[in-house]
Amino acid sequence: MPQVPLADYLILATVLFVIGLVGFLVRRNPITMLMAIELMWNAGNLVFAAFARNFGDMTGQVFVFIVITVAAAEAAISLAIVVMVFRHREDVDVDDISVMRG
Amino acid sequence: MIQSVAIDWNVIAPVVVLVATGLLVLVVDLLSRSAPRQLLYGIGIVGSLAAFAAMLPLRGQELTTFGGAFASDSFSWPFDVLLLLTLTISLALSCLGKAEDGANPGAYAALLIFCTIGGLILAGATTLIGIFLGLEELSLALYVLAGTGYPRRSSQEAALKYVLLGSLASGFLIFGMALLYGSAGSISLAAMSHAAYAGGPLFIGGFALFLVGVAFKLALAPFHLWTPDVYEGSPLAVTAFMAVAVKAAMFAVLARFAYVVFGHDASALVPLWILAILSMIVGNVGAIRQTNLKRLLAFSGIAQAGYLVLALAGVGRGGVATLVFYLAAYAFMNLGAFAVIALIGNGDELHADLSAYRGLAFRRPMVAALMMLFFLSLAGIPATAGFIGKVLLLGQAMGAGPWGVAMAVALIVGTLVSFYVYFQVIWQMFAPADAEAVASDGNAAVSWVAVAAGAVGVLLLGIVPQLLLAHL
Amino acid sequence: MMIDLVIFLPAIAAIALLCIPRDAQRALRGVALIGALATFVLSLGFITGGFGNEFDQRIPWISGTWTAAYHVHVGGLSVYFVLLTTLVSVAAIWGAFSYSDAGKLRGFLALLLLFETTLLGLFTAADLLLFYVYWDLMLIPVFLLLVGYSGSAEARSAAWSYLLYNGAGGLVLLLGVVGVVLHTGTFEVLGQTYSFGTLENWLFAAFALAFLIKTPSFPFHAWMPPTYTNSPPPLVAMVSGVQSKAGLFGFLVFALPLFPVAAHTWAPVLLVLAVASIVYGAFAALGQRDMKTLVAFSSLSHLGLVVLALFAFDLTSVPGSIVMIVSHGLISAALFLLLGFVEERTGSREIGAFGGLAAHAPRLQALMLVAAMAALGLPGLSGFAGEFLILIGAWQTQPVYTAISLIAIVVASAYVLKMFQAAMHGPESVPGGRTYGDLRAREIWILAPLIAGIFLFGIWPGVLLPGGGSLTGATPAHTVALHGQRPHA
Repeated sequence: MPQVPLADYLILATVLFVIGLVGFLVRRNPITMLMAIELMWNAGNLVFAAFARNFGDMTGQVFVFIVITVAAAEAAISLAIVVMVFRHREDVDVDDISVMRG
Repeated sequence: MIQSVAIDWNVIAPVVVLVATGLLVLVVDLLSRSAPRQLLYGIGIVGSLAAFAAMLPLRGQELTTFGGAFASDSFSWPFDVLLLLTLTISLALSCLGKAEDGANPGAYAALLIFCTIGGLILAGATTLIGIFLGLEELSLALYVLAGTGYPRRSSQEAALKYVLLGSLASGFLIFGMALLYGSAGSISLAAMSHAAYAGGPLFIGGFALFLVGVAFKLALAPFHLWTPDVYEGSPLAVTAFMAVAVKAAMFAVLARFAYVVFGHDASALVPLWILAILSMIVGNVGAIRQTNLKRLLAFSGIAQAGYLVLALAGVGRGGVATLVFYLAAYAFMNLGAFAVIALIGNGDELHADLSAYRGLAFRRPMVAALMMLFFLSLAGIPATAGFIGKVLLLGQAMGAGPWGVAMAVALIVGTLVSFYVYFQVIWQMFAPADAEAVASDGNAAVSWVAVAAGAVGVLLLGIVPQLLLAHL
Repeated sequence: MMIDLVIFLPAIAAIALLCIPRDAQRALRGVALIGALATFVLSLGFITGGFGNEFDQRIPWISGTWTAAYHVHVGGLSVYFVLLTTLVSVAAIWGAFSYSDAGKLRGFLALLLLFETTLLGLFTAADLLLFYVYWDLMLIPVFLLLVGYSGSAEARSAAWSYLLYNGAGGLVLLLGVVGVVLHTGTFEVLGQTYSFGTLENWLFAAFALAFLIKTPSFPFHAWMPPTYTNSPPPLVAMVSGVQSKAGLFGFLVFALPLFPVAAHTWAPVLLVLAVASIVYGAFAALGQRDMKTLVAFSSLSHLGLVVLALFAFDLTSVPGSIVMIVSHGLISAALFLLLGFVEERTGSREIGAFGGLAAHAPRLQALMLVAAMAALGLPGLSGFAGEFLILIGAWQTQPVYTAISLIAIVVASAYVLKMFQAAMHGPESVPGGRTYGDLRAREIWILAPLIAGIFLFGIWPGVLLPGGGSLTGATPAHTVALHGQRPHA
């Protein structure tokens, strides 16, 4: 089976990262925005894994596991916060989250 | 084959003490739901002091553990002290009658403690994994803490904005770290200096994204947009913690990164200098129109983060000492200012409004004088810590080439603008007292202790700075 | 130790005031006045030799990549500034007894005393960082007095122009000060010569900008009229009488000796600004209706003369500038206090709003006459001595600028007489027909030392000239400035 060159992984990861970033910037639903962020995190994971395989080094893969673990905690917390906000109002759209001026 | 890694427990003793304290707080809260929250916060304060005691023998030593991944050295030690100081003061301010803690004091105290552990890990991390883990531990706990004032809508918003933008920043950070790993073939910062020397698109791209992530957390302009809202919405004690601890921990990372990776050549740090100049402008100008002190201090924090970057200018000798000195000054004056806000309102959020300070100098001269001291220090007026800090920063920057001089000029211009901001508060305090003045009669002993700690720090560092400088 | 005692005695008195209950008016006044008087008496030790050789004290302060010391020194030059400060402060603090808001008297007196300490600290500083500390610290008591103790919305907004102008000057000075230390490695730069290379012009410019704002000099004077006009009389007596000398002191003691070459390079610019201040100040004073603003602009004019003297680099004009500095301090403090007394009596300080006070207040008229005549330079009074020395000195090196400045001397007669006549002569009229009395004994005692000084230095200016009129007593660094080159170059 022909090996996929490293550059292809990097290009794919960059595309994922940009899709995630654009998704974050254009979508207004916090859950969708969090999904977009997950995409960006996983783009980073892909780069780590690709380099780890390229170097034949375990460290990158360990890093991926740690990121995945933290991402789970992060998802739990962010969803809890979204639920908290949702319980206090009908709809969750970040454009309405504007009691403060920023 | 898996190598066993010897762990030097002495090196991580402060972290272990804090972990134990955090767990103890949770257990006490679990066993006795009726335990007064002051007890839980008291345990936290004792734990924080115990962690400080555990740090004393580490002073002046250069130790590493976890196979060199975690260090306790002259880089990390002063930052650790600042983090523990901040934790202690924040817990003390949380004891006040009207302080918000989400009606769940055990979780609240434990989260503050876990935050601090994240900060300690950040300060000691010598690899990308350590930086990532420390940062996430710090951030995840803070996302929740920002929302602990949750019946208040602004607190809910603060939590949501913080978690969304903070996670976005982490996304940049992870991608940048992955590229840095690819350029160096290792996650240790020491290995990265070779990659920095060689340059190359992977390293440059990785560093740029890493810097974006760090700038987000540090609230450097233009990545500062979350700061005013999050500071305003979070409970007062959390805001105080956020303002000081996050900056101390992130600057520890940035300083270590700058000195280890760019020690030989600081020219690649130009983007950081540009961020600093932008922050000094945006922070000071943005603060002009603020009528909420938490927002005002948020913008002030953006500007002060810009000032702090001057310490790294040219990655020169004495840079870390300057950084630590100004961070200590920053910690004392900010914690002091937050403590005064908490003092007069007994911890409520109402007294973050500028109008509460109208005529305060004639109603409560002592409190007004102390508030004035902290704001004079923020403005860099002599005889305060902020002044000596600025002289050190200017000395560091002006000797570091054209970018350093540009930053020094930005600091001067920014400081002038900030005069208008900080003296506005003093101006209000000396306004003729009107009948509708907000009652400001909080007088809790614990907040006086916090205020006094800030005042003593600001004055000592301002008048006899050698006390600290001799040890840096 | 004695030198520290002189500097910090007012601050100690201020702290003592804060320990006294706010409504114990007699105790407050007593402590404040005793503090100021004791400081003055102690400071006399610098001229009578009562302190032996304790005119210098040095404690290491900061050491690292650069060093600074708490180094205070009273020398042949600074002694005049110190005595002027302690003398004017006594008058100002005594004058503050008639401050109207009894509830705020304590804070008012305490801030005046703190202001005195910052001024004394400034004039005794022999370390550049210490000098800067007091330079900036000075802003705070004045800002607070304007904001909290002047009782008018105008004063509260004048505080902003005071703060932002002087703050800007201070921050530019900070750049210069740090620029100096990067070259010298130490803030104790007095008595040393350094080579700053091309940087010297920039450093001098930073220093000069700060000093010109504080003095103030045209075109940096925009903060002055509102500040002087809206300050309570004791405050403006100290700001105009003493604080305005801080920049000139900075030129004499720091900027000229440190940057002798740059001082000559920049001299044409400074001379033009000086002459502009002299002429503009005089004509602006002529057009004023508010007597305080009038005296404020006359200050601009008179202190411009000092700048002219400094940058004419003449062996007579520079010592003459010291006479002028002290003389102006006494005269403007006396005038502003007198205007305060007038305003207490008439409720106004507008030219034309009242008149003929001479009829019922002959003592007020007499003292006002002395101060006014001194301001317009009548021979025999101190104003003349200063102006005369400066003009004959500056004539030697800068005849054109000196000739232009002479116009201002003529105009000065016009505006001073206009003010004096409007207030004192003509048919008696006071707004609202209120009754008033002549100066009380206390008010005369407040003014007596100032008036005595005006006479003393008018008749015997030599007492103020370093070395009794010759330059033999001038500091070596000072001579360097005059010759515009380094001795060892």
